[in-house]
Amino acid sequence: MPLLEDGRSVADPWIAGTDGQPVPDTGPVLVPLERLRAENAALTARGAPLGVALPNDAEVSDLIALLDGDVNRLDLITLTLPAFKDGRAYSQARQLRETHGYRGRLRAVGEVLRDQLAFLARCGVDAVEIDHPDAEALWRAAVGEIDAVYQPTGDGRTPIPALRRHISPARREDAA
Amino acid sequence: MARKLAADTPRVVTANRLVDGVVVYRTAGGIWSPRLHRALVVREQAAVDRLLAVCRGDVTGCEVVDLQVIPVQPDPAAGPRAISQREAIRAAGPTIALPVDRPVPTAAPLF
Amino acid sequence: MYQYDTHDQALVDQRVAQFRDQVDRRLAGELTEDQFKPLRLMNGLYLQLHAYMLRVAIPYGTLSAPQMRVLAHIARRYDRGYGHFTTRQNIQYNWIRLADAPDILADLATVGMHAIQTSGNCIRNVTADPWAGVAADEVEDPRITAEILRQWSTLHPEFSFLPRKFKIAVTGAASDRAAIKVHDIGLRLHRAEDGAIGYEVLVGGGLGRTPVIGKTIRAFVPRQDLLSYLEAILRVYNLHGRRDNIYKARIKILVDALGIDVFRQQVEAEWATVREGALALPDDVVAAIAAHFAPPAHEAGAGSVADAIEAAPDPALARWIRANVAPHKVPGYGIVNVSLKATDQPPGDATASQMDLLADLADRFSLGEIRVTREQNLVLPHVRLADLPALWAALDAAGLGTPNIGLISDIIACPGLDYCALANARSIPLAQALTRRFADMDRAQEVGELHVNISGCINACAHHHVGHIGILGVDRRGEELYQVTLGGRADTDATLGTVVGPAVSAERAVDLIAGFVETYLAIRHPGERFIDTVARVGTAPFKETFHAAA
Repeated sequence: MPLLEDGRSVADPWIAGTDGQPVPDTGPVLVPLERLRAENAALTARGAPLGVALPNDAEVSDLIALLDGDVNRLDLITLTLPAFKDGRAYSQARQLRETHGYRGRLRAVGEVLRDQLAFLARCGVDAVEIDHPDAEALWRAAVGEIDAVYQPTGDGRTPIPALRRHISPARREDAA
Repeated sequence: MARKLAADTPRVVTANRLVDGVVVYRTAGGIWSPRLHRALVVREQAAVDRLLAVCRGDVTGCEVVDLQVIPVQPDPAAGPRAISQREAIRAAGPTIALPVDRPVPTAAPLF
Repeated sequence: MYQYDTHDQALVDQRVAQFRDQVDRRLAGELTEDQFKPLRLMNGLYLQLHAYMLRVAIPYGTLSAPQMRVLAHIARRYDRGYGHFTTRQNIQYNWIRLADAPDILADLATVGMHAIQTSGNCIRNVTADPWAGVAADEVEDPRITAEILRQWSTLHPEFSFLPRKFKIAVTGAASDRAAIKVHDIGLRLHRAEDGAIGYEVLVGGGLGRTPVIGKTIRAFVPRQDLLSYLEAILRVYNLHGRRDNIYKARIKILVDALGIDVFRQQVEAEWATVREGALALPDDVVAAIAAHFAPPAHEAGAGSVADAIEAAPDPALARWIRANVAPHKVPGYGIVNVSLKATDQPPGDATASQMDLLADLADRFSLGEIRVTREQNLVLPHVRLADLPALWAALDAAGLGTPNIGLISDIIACPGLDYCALANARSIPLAQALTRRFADMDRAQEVGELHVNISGCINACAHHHVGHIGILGVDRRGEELYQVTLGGRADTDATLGTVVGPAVSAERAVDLIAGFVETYLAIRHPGERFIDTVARVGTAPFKETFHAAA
């Protein structure tokens, strides 16, 4: 399935380090949360990019604890959307980005539809696997469909209440 | 709705038209009619399954949604009739007199 | 009233374009029904028994006259000439074509209206006291808060796929007219000892299959922290609410499973991570929104509603004022409640011509404002007492002058099996039969305040659990029967009703209710309302009525 990062189609360099299989010595490896728990020291000592697949019923705080508080030891976290209507990943994404300052890739996998891309992006997801012949165009169209937003999130967009404050007469007087 | 039907219960296939939601019934001629009495009545499970398989094509083809098989009271002369209150209402519309948008006396002019 | 600025308008316009594209993709076969259904629901479009139903948001139940005219236009142009006002202060159209839905939304957008989040597992249209800004017992107009919440919740990126729908109600008054105790979150504006405005926050209330009275999670949340606190509640719910069983997915089930104390701890922990963030509400942002709800220019006047009753030249006018007009906070004005419960009328329905007339009357007599109530009636909130005779004459001539607000024939009813795909039994014919039985308005006033609520299924759209007399339609082997509860109330002392007796036919339900009224009249103490009598004596004397009617 095509992988988009920041809206661009890219090859997926990540090797799935599934349970029971030996982890290769080099190269980026994506492991399940439980494997991180079991082989934490070895995976950290590897010295190559590490990613974790976070189940949608896992506590983000548990993952942070496993990483001794440093979520940026990870280069990739995948979030799961088992079905369109299961929205737990949106909260996990904002906790990772906004509460814990995660700066690596945040990828949504599972049933990712065009009509949720904008919300995912607003919550800090910057990579998706999406089944579409022109995934890049789809991403562009979907995230640009509504360009006014009310909520402040970690995506850095200026929400409407803040836009209003910048142009309100009171503020202009303040600035003068 | 999911009630088990006896093996040879007379049944028809119903759905709603995608474009406007109107209740429709599958006829012997293979079209969707808004009139229950035109519906094709089937009894054996194999016949129901064959009919449903054909109708699913119209779901895929975006003509109808929400396919259902419903039991009916057959009547060779007048055509099938609904059994449940729900299906009777689907077939004939609300049981109440709908509000009629009659002109009302307008407010007296301001000046 | 709140006026959209260019930002609000841009968002709604873009949402219309987005939905038009979604409908086009559906009609072209690019989306399956399974994919499209959640998208159409996010715009309030349901497939009901006979057609699509479109639910249009009326934020906190406030309408301007031009907005009401567009609602009338939609009824006339795209529906069958009428609409249905709901217990959530919205309007529903029953006969909509999917292909027309984008055009309808475009028409709504011309007056700053939409159907965003009137369905789906998201934060629904926020409701408020229908007498907001005009009631005498108010700390602050709750619409300021409700509008802040409307903006915060609109297309919220994190909370658009919650375990289940989520309803928030706000009151700013001592007397609760917004039923805040039976909402997922209820907010009560009040002042701290230092005079600062904040909120008592209730959580986990709701009706439906598992009715629960909400519990206070925090006695006082300062205003600047409101959004961060709600975001914390919603996040805990989004992460931990059940998703395996639709009937156990509301926040009330989570609160019950954890216990309010553990739930509160989880919310406080989450709140600590977001409280100092960008959601803090600056005073100037609140002030800018509050300015939209500044009281309109009332004329200097004098007199009370009681004076107006005294002065009424016509006994029928006096009767109408007594039942339908409430005291306004400004002397010389009254709050006029317009009944959509004429005898034999489907509760809450209004025709396009009636809507147009109400818009004209609002312009002429109510400073251009209209409200929609949880009881499925309308309100003209700013009427000069001197104008009551002229207003009443105009309303009465259009079938809108029924003097029964809060009385036995002011029945709350859902659309029921006549329209609704979820219903098990019909609601409207039973409501109509009751209005015929209690058509004598003098007698209804003699009986006094009495709320009858009729839901056609367990989803409780008519709030039957909190009706003084609640009626739930059930389907027993193909027969429509009605289960009766007594003693429910949705006000400040919110209580769930108690089931009395087995489910009965519609015909018997009418006789039973007539019997309940007789029992009440026989045993009431002076000044006691029906609900007070039930609270005093319990259901036992009424159960006897039940047996006597058998």
